[in-house]
Amino acid sequence: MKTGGILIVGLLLAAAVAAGAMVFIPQPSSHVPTPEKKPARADEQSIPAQASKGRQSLSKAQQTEAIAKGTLDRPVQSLLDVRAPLHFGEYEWNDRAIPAGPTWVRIDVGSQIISVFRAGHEIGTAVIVYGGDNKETPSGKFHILAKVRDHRSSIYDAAMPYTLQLTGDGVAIHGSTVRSGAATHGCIGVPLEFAKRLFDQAKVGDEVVILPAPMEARAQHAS
Amino acid sequence: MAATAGLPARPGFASSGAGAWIAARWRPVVAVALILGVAAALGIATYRSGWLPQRAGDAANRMAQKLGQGASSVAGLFNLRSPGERASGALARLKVKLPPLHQRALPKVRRPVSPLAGVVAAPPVPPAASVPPLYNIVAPPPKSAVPALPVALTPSGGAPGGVFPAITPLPGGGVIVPPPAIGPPSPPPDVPVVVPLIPGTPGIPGVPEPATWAMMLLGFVLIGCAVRRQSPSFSR
Repeated sequence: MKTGGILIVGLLLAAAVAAGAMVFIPQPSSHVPTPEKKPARADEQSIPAQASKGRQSLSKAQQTEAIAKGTLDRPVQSLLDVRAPLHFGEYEWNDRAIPAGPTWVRIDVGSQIISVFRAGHEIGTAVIVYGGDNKETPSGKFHILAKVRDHRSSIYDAAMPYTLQLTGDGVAIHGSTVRSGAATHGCIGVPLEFAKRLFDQAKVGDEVVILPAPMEARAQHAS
Repeated sequence: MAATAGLPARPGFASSGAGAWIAARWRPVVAVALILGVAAALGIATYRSGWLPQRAGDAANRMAQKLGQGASSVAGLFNLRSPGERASGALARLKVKLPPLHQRALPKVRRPVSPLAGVVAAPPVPPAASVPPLYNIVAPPPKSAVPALPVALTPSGGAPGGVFPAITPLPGGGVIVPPPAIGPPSPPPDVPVVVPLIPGTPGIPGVPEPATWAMMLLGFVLIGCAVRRQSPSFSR
């Protein structure tokens, strides 16, 4: 009658096997079909091979389709390879071996994502918070009017670290508490560390493209 | 089949050799702990094997396909990293709006109030004979007392001289009035003349001049010195 002992030993063995599997099974990779990667053409501002780790090149067809659909308004050669939904407060930043060049920012209010591009390559992305129902974030193409490292809102008496001012009435990109369900009074709130990196990267005059929210876009399309 | 002390013998478990290693009272606890540990390990291993993230990726792909964006498109790639759309009705909880600036800039400032604003139907005070009047109102002299102006209308235009200027008639019928003689302007005869008795004090007390303040302070100093001299000195 060794059934009880065999049961306990079997459970212990199963636990050991599962623990070993935890260690040795690699992290899940993307199960999304990877788009074809073409070698960079001579006329593109290519990046070294070691810099392509962690980023995904875009083919000419993808760029053309993105521009035709309005996802992008200019050619982009590579995106950061982020295949899982970012959590609120998370960000990715990778500008290794990315050459100097014009910087621009793409903000998609609908998907709550900000992307920073330099020389045609994405170097940073994060989850944002944006304006509430009565304080919508304006959409369109803006230029950075001013940079203030330690700004404080005169209207709301709130800290706005690493402010990149976009409009004359105070809409800006700044460091903020990014959490689910939160909203601002029209500003774009990004994680503080991301805001610092973006502040160091961006210059006055750089372009910021804010895509309209899906509801707003549908309303514009219907009208 | 040796029964464990304190517990009735149960076939197949309590009497087994492995069961004899552990005190009978701890056997259920150990069994539950083992089962939970194995379940947790299997769960973690399943997650790390990629099965659940694959399901999540499939969900993202389905969302992208639902939106008409293939996973290989740029929009699909952006959607993969998106936490999704924000639920409508999100409140602005990050900042608290303060009252407008003009309400908190100078909170203690009061608007100037007219000194007569709070006076309600003050009884008329009869003029007291002992209070000297501040102004001396001089009634205009009656018109009958004013002597007629000795204006001489001379056709030749010559001025007869004297205090009053002559009025020269013109051929067209007009009259040229010469400017009055240089001197103190005479008030109109019908308006009473108000002459301040104390020159320089128009009725409103003025702010003391610095010299006045200095004189008052000097007086205080002198008073202090005098008191100090008269006070008995302490004996050493």
